[in-house]
Amino acid sequence: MISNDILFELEHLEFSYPDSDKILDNLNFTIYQGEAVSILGANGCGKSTLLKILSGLLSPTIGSFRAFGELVNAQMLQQDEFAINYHRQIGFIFQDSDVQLFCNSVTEELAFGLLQMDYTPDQIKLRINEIAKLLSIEHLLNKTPYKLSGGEKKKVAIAAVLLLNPRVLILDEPTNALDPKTQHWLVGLLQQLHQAGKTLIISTHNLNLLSELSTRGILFNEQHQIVADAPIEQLLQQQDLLRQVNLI
Amino acid sequence: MHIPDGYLSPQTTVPALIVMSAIWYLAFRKVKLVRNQQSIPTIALCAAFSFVIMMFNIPIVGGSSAHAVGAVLVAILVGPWAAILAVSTTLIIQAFIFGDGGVLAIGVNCLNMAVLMPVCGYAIYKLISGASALGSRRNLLAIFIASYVGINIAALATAVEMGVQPMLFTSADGTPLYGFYPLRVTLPAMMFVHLLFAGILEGIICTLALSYVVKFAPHLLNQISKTPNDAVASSWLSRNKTLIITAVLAICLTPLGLLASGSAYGEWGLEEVQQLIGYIPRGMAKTADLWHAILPDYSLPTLGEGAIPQSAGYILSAIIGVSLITGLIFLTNRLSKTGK
Amino acid sequence: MCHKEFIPEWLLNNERSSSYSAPQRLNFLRRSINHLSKIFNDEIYFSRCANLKGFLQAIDPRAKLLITVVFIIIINLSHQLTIPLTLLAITLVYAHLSKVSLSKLIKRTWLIIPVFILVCSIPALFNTLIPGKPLLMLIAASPNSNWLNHGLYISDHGLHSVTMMVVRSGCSLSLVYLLLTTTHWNDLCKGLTLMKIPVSFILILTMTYRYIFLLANCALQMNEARFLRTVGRLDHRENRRFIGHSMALLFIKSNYLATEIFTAMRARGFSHKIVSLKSLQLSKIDYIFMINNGIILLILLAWSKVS
Repeated sequence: MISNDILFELEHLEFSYPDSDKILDNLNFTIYQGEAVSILGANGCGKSTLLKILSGLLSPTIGSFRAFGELVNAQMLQQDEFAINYHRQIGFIFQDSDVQLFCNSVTEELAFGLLQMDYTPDQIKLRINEIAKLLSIEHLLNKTPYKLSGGEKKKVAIAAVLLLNPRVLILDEPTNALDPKTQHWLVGLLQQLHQAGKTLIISTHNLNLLSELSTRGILFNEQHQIVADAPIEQLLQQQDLLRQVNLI
Repeated sequence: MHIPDGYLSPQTTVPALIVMSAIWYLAFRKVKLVRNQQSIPTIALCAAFSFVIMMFNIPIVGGSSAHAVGAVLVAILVGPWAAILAVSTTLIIQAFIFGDGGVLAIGVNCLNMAVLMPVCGYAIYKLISGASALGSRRNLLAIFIASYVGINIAALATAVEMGVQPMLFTSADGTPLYGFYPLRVTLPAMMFVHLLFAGILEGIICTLALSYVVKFAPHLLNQISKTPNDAVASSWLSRNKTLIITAVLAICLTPLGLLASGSAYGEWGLEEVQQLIGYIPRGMAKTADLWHAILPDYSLPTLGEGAIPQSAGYILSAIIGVSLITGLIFLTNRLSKTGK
Repeated sequence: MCHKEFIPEWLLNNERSSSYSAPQRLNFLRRSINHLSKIFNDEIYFSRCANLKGFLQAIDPRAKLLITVVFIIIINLSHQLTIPLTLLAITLVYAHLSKVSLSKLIKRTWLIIPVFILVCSIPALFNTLIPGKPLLMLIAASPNSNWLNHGLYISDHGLHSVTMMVVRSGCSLSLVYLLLTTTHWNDLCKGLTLMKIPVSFILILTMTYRYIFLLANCALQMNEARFLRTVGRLDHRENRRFIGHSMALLFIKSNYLATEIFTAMRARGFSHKIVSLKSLQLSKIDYIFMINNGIILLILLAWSKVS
């Protein structure tokens, strides 16, 4: 399913907050349309910062970052029109679903994004029903998001993002705090979406589900550099390397 | 609304700090009484909460934005006493760590935003909502009006504190020593913005936040003074007599304290002290003599009168002063390195 | 479980999204995100400075707090420029000896609030508010006109009052900034316990500081999530609703945390005492520091009497 369309291209990318050390150091890689990439590394290696750059929340301090064929820099991100177009192509699923859900009911939550675009009420209703069926959350539609269980919240958060039909799905530690059954369900869903042509970028330190979730792995060491970028099976065999970066 | 250091005279900020200490003491006793040990993490979290909600920017017209204060919101959520402590903690941390509001001005800022605003707001909320059900139209209206009035009272107090400065603290020739805008400037400047914009915004945000809590987590609301149905206005007033008295006292005391002191602190001569307290403390008389012994007035004694000797004296004293200070700093620095 | 045939048709296509209508203003979200992330950046910078081996870092927090407060009081009592400016110079020397970046200190303390005060004070420069000797004449005096019959000029007293206020606020801010960059908040709070300030109050100060980061991180992510889900136009009502609800959710979350934390604290045997590994005791150098600063103040006061 991997096409030749380049989605993200990072060249000598570095990032640091003002007054602090480098959080990302000399990153070079390219992500193509339709890939499923895992970003691996111990806590504090810079995974979340990389995801923030990919999703357009931060811009690199040094180096270049191209997304969807355009150079992305701080000035671009300050433009509302650019930012909104960028958001439409990217779906970000936070580790803590609580921060993503703020509406009174699940239906409102799901309609939130669609209402901002020019869809008719009928189209919106239809799409919500379809996505609810896909994620089997029909019975939750009239409930309050904050009262749901952790797994249900995750499903609603994913549904809200999927409704906008982004080209790329970015997931931060998606399996954290989920029970094994929901984890399994999530893996199935992500596989399906991948097969349907979506690009997946997943940050994780959970090695068990890795080979089911992704085809390629990018491994960070604790010095905020990339030490390996290889097919996932190959990466998982290099036990020494994984031990060296404190993943196992 | 955070007043920085330098705007208000210490004669305003220090009495305000003293009044605040009394209020904090009262609040402590009150909160501990009802909530015992668990109060500490709860108050700390409320303080962190009130800190963080001040960081939310609210869009106004066009691309501009403002932020809410949220003190009334905190008061309705956790009760007025806990709100006094929580918002005060927020203001103290803001003053020290983020430079929002002065350190000496903590007392004044706390009076405005951590006492007047939440207490008055809470009183108004109770008065208007009466026995109405949580989340009812009357209840929500009460929240809106309470927040609106609360922030405006805080703004009014700020404007008055700033506006009385030029009336009270001037040098001999009438030049203001501290804040220079009189009431006729500060009052319209503060109140225009708050009556027309900030107050309404504050009201909307608080009503939205509270209606959500009321709808989905009503059990969390005001665990401190949980009085179900008898919470009518009159009984609330009688139950919180001390609170109201303190608030009124606080309002009266600040300007009184201002009026009481005619001249600037640092320039108090012994006569003024005598006039003020009726006698001269003995220790003070002694140090005054000592002071005169070390520092004969005005010009260095060895140099005569006239313009040139005087400016020479000035330069000489400056050189001596600077070298003494520099010497002391480097001595301390050196000692701190070797001494450890 | 989901099945492949359930995936809706539209989700399989890469829709080129429809026309881009008038942009939604995102500034308020950007501003919230900036404010909230600044908390974390400051914390990183402050604790890094406080860990350096410099002059003030070696002094007991109580001594530093005392001197800072006394300096601020003196600055706020003075009506001439000499004392605040000398104390500022001392602050800068201390900062340099403590390896605190001077440019950052000045940027953080002088370029925000004092500039704001200065801008607000511009009208006070003129003789209409504070009369005095003319320094810069803008409109010549004309005895015939009803208003401005003294003309409009920048008066010496006006300039003095405004300068004093700007200088006082900037100097006070610099001192507080220096205290915080050379002292960990927890050490400062610990110092307060030994100054007979009630323990529960200090516990609240320490814990609040810790919780701020917890809740700020949550609030930051809420704003980021909301920012990323802005894909078109929304009216301000919707935006305000988001803010109100986020605050409510934050409150619910903090309440939940409060119970959790209290249980955890009790499980570890919490009592109303601050236990710390670092023992705080005033050493010789702390006394020397306080005495020397006292002498500096005396010299300054003497000096201002002389001049």
